Amino acid sequence: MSDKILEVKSLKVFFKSRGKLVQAVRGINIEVGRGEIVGIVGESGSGKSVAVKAFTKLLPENAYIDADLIMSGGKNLLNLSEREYRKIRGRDIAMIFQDPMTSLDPVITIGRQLEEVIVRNQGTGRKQAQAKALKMLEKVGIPYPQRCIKQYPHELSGGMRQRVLIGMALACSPKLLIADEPTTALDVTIQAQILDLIGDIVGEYGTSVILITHDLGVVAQTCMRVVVMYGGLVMEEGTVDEIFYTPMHPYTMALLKAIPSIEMADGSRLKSIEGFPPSLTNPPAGCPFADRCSYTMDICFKQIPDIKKYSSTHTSMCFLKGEDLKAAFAGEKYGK
Amino acid sequence: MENEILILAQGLKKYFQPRGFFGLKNNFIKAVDDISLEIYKGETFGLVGESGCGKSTLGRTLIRMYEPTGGSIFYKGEDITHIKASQLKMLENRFQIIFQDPYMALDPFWNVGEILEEPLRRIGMDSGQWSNKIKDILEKVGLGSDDVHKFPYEFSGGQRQRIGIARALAVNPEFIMCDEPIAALDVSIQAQVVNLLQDLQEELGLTYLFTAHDLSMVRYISTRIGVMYLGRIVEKAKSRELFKNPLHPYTKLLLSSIPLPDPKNAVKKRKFKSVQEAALTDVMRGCNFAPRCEYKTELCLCEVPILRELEAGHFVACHNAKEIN
Repeated sequence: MSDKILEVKSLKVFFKSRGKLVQAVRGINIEVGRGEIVGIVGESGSGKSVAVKAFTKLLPENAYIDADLIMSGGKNLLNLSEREYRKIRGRDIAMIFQDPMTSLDPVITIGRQLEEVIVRNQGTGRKQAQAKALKMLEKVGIPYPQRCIKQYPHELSGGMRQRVLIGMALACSPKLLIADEPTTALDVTIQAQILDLIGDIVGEYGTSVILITHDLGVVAQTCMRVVVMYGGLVMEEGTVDEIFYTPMHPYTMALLKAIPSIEMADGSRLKSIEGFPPSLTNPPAGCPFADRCSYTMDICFKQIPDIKKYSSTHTSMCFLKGEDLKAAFAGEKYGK
Repeated sequence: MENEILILAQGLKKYFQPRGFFGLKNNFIKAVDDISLEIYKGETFGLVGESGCGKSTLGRTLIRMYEPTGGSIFYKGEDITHIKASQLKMLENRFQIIFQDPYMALDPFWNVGEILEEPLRRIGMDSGQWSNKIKDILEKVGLGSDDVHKFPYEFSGGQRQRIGIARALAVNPEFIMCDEPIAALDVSIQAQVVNLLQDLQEELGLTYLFTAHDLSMVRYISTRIGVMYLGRIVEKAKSRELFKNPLHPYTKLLLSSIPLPDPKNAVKKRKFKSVQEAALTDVMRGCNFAPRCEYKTELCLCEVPILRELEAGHFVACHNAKEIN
């Protein structure tokens, strides 16, 4: 962890919308080491996408970003002008999004779109860019790269389009790749291929990855560390083993129990989390999960809990003591 | 009760013929190609497969939302393959559908009361009874009677799906096609909706056809499961049996692709052939899965495998199923 690619301290993001202030992210810390795959999980509206878009300044104009520190590659991104930021995007930090169709220009060939990225960021000539584009397509496992560069996005399947986007994101060998739900729109078989591909890339280039997803299965299979977000706050953070085998937060536990496991006995019932996520325009004064939590105490509604440290990598934000949580979770069975 | 067949399809076909450039006719898209299927009363039949395999089309053809191209459909032994529009109306209160996207399936300008009155009017219920009936259904799906005056935008995704379920229930149907009802919802909300569907099934004796691409959820809710690949059912078995002992190479591929929520059990590298996925328009004489299959033989390329009962209640459409397993 000495080699940090990204370090974010007390990041807050607010939106002004119809005279109301939406507090999407309410003070989170995130660190990503070199060659690390960090998963951010959470429900829609938990602030996970907004948080990473803040790193790349891709938020709309009504967004206000406030942070003590956003460091990447030795540079404090907070002080950069939009012009300087453009050099960071693509070169240092690249992003891929959920929907591979809307991220590609429908009327320009795949080859040209790739070349443009390479020419723009690396200042090479068209010829070199073309060669590089071919190489990238090959790298991401496109079966006929020669044919593919002449095709338009609509001619490719969803999985192939997502590969093109990954190729595009990696063309300039970024230090950090942010993948925002990259497989949510894809079928399981294709999802498996894309996740394998992301794993390969980390092995080969030492790229760090932030993988945003709501699928805990995906996290378990690809990530090294996990950040669990809820209501704009980080509820729990730890290595995958810590999060999946010794969760220390009722929300994490509830999430784990909500997914059916393959070995689940017939006739058993899924444990749903009753209620709904908190409103972000008027967030609760206490723990955002308190309304839906089965272990609440009075204090949970009054103030936001402090972050407790359980190991050098494992932290959780809950008023309950470690022993109490362990005792409460001891009998729980979930998708192991 | 278990053995009463509610819906039976024989050799069902549904082809689409898209118009291409300048209205030229393209090849047929064989969305449903020669499928035979029986759905028992009170069961949940799960359909799984990749997007574009025809599972939604199959479901919609079964409830006669689409006119089948070939084959026949029987409802309680009665042939409903080509019945007239007037009779179709009668079927509407037997069959209902719940859609994937609760945001798009509800009219944004109608409040919940109006959304639920529509089906009641269609079945000719006396307007004096509407408000009681609506209150009753809303309670069943876990919404309050004061929600009647609210509009869809005032609800969250999970609540909207409950409205969709309420609308389907309004006509007291027997059979509900659940077309990816949980795909657009968050994990914690998915469990709520699935539990609700199960409670309703128990209480009202409903029969479901449930499609989803989340396999573990289908495994959880279904009695039996059919695996579809490019318009055909390639394997059909009791849900537990299918997951324990998949026989078709495609089912094996699907199951091995599920990311398990268990880091220690991380999947070993899957071997995939980077074959461009075949499309429904491709003319194929043999098994549709052959281009992606690692066990394919000469036979697979020239003859369509039929669904055979390899083990009791476990059907598979693969020429080499015996050899592979």
